[in-house]
Amino acid sequence: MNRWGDYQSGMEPMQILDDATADALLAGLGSPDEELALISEIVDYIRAPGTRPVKETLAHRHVPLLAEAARAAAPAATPIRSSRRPRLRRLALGLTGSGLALKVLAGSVALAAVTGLAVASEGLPEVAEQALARAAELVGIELPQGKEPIRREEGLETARTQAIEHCEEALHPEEAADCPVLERVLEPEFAYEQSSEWTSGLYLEHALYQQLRIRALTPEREPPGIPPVEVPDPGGWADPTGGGTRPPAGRP
Amino acid sequence: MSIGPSFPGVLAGAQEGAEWAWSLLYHDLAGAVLGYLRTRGASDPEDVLGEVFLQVARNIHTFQGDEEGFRSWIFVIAHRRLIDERRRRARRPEDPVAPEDLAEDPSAEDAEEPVLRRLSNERVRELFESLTEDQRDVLSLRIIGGLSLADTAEAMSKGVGAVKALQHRALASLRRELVRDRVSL
Repeated sequence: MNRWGDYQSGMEPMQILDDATADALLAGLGSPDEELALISEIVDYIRAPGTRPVKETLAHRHVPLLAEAARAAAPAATPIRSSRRPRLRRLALGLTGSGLALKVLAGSVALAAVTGLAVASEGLPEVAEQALARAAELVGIELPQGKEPIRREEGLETARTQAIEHCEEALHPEEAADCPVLERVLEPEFAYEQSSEWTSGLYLEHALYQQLRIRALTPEREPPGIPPVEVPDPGGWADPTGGGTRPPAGRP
Repeated sequence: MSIGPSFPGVLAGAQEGAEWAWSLLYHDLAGAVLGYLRTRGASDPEDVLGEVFLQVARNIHTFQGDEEGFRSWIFVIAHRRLIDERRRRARRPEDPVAPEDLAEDPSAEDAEEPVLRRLSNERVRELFESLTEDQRDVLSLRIIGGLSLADTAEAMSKGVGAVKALQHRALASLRRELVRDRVSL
């Protein structure tokens, strides 16, 4: 209930708008009432920014990433592994990131520093260390290598086992075909994609394992151009040229 | 603009990750979402827009409903992202909405009906900014997002009654200010 003194001198008590009138106002239907018509102008004013289309450059950047994010997040027939999250993080960077050059630089530095630390602390398997060192050498980064070459069968078997185990953990099998391999580590764009989220260097390790996994599981279809893993080969199993496996020396 | 009867097919395409479907959804809704984010003072509206749509893409396979529901769902996400952004920069004052972001010059926008425009852009912005943050949220979600009271309540994590009260107070406040303007003339 209104009392005397509730309103300043000269002001009329405000009538509460009924729901229908309020809805009509907010929907931009206007009103014959003069005061409400003025409110309609404010409503139109608020609505105006939402009627502008987004810039096409923004749409071109966002739409493909959204489609890929939806595909990555879609429920699969097999259980979803945690590996989908990094892919989504990459997409998030693409959707929200800015300052590409800065991130490329920061990513490259972080990647080199972290992987260097990982190798120095023997955080990677020796096979991975050697491949990493070889890759790093190509871009002028000197990384310490493993203490000694691993033995032929034992080493490859270990690498194969680890590769399978880690890749099964790290990557959904469906994604194996399009998983980036070691050579992509050398691409600045790739460093950018990974830099903000993969600061632990796990991706590099993962890429190495993926490479090993491809070699171990599908040696005949090994992608070309992958830097070979250096495994001393007195006569068998690993063909560093990428030709697959072959029996030990002395066997047909 | 709306997608209309083909929305279920578009939604199914988007759930499967079809780029054409995402293009349609994006072009249909991104402008409104961006306008909402700008009006509500997001510091980097395009960045937040990307976050909003990424969350939509991540969860679109869980969405079930019609086009209106989809629009509401996106604005619920947009509002929550906006709240997240406000929290992130809680120590900084909210940037006032730039005139060019709130609306174009009405005289240029609607040259055929200049007599219908009686309030200057500056005055409209003052009136809008005189409202409380919650009141501005309610009006923006209802006007730009086209959300119902119930959807606005869900977006703001409030009851429908509370949102209705905020809306009434906002409109009453605007009306009161306009009456004052008239009295002072």
